[in-house]
Amino acid sequence: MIRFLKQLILLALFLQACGGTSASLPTLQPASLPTPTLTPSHTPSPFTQTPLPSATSTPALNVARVLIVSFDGLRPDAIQAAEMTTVMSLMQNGAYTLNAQTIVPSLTLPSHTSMLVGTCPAKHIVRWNEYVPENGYALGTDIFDLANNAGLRTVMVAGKEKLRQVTEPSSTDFFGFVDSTDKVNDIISLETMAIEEIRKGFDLMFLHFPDGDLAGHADGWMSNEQLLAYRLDDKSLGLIFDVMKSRNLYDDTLIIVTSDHGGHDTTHGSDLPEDLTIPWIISGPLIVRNELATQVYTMDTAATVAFALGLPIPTEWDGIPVYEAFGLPFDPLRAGGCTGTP
Amino acid sequence: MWGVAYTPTPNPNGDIVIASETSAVLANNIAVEIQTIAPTATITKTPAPTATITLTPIPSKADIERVIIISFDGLRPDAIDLAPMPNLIDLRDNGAHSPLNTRTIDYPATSPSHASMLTGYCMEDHGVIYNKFFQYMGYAKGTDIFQLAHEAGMKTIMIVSKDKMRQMAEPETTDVFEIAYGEPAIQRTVLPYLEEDFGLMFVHFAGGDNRGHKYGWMSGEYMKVLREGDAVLGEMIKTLKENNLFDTTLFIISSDHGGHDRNHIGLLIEDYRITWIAYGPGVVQTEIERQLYTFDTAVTAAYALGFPLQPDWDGIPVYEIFGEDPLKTHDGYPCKT
Repeated sequence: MIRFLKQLILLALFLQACGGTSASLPTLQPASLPTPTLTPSHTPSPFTQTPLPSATSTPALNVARVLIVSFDGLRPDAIQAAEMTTVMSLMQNGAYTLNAQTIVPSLTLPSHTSMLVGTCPAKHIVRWNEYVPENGYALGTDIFDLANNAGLRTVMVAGKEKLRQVTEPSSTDFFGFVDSTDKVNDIISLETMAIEEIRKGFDLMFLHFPDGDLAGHADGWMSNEQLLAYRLDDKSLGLIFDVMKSRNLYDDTLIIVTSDHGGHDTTHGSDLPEDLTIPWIISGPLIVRNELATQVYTMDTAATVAFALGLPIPTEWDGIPVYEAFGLPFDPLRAGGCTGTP
Repeated sequence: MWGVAYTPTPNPNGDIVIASETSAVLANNIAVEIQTIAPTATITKTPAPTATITLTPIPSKADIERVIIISFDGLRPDAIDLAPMPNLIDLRDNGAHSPLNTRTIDYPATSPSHASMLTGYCMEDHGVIYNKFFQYMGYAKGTDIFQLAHEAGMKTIMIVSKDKMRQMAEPETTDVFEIAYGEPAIQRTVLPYLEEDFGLMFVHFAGGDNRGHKYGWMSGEYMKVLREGDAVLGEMIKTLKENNLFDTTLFIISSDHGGHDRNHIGLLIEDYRITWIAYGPGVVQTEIERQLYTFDTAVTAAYALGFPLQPDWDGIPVYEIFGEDPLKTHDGYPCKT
């Protein structure tokens, strides 16, 4: 109850600070904080029961846009070891868990697909880890489909071309990749491409840094080379945040920083805890600062984004929003994760 | 390399290949006559009279001296009759088979499925989570049947049609490993090895998968190459008979995945459903109704050869093929992925 009151006060203060939109105050207040049910099964978004008058123009929870950042192959213990200051400041200002779990096989393309489609591999069927265009795209409604249907601008900036297979070209307004593994000198870098898209404006953006994974395969996980790669990527992310701040886009952006898999030796993909454990950090408007007690799975990323943007969560999704990050009641004994097809 | 895509272009679905329904089932038009003692359903414990050596004893599981595992890449069980594959039909109808109840692992692709077939493990346990030839990833983990056969002093032979199959077993446990592209090359390679004794052989026909990706599953070209593979099977049986090895050989014929249109990425049950046929001494003529999985193949081969069953194997021997009651059955799909 106290938490609820605190939320209301926070919301009221925030809306007052915004000013101008006082006409929409009474409609937003009751609708934004219904208590979600505690059942671990697929709980539809509270916004499906009480739809907002116009989801596109006034997004729920004052989240104006969402940025998902994925550091490929980032183990939670690498954040401190690599001194990723930008990520660590997000952890200080937001909610985080260093014990989130990805799927088996812990590979880049299947894991990112589960992260962004919100389902286990049994449903999205992307189990290959190469760019195989003839296999098509992940099955099911992904977060980009939902956002695109709601008229939001969706952007994907990736470091690997195979991430094209996560979602159909029709559901992303921009997809760009910069592959640094070939010998061709690119005229554009990943962060330049991302900054260009930020200048154009976005509602949902997925940003993927591949360098840590590439260094891990070459020199080993937690090697100095890999930690250096993460530190440089973290600097790039800081630059991107500076651009957002200068354009006044930072404060109302929900930022999720996570990873697709961990790693050990020079490889990953197994069901070892080193491979499966990933960081999950969320920061932005209405996020309660603390360490998350709930078990987070990578499928929850898509569900949390949909919840924050007020989009209806498909019932077939295996992920559920991380309500705890918003200070809402949650299931502390959540047991989930993916199983094989029965 | 870099690239951008601004204009969303609708992805045109590839034109769907309609399965050719034209081929008629040939009735008993069998190229090779198989002289076999009709296996009886009951195992009689009465030994043959010792005085009369000329009497042939009833073949039993104890007569199995070698196992040949044949994998037709991408063979759907419903394609056997449509192709038709007369030699395979003959083995199927005189042996044990699972009509439509065998499925592969959740990743219906060649390398992971074959690794499960030959090691007896789920994908997360054998570690072949990729479908390309990645030499740096090493070999399928765990105790596989090639290792057990090699340790038992048997000659182990692998004849495959894709180079990535090298990763299914370690080189030190396979005495012979040869890659042969195309059905005539497989026949040339495999027949000399059938003239002398061996313990475990794995033969892999990739034609069905290759033609399936190019022309479509159940297309005329797919059926044609299955018939060619079946003719090689007929030649193999003929060679074994000429060398008096056929009556002590257990055949297990399976596939790694099915397919539809021009892919097998797991959209339909047809992608997961695989062939499973066993024929040999002691194998009773039966249809297995319960659910089998591809990792049962390795475990059944180990059971037939009398190898110790590894406790960490995910597969269970198909006891029914020898007319035995199953000691254990699958309680659902046992793998995480």
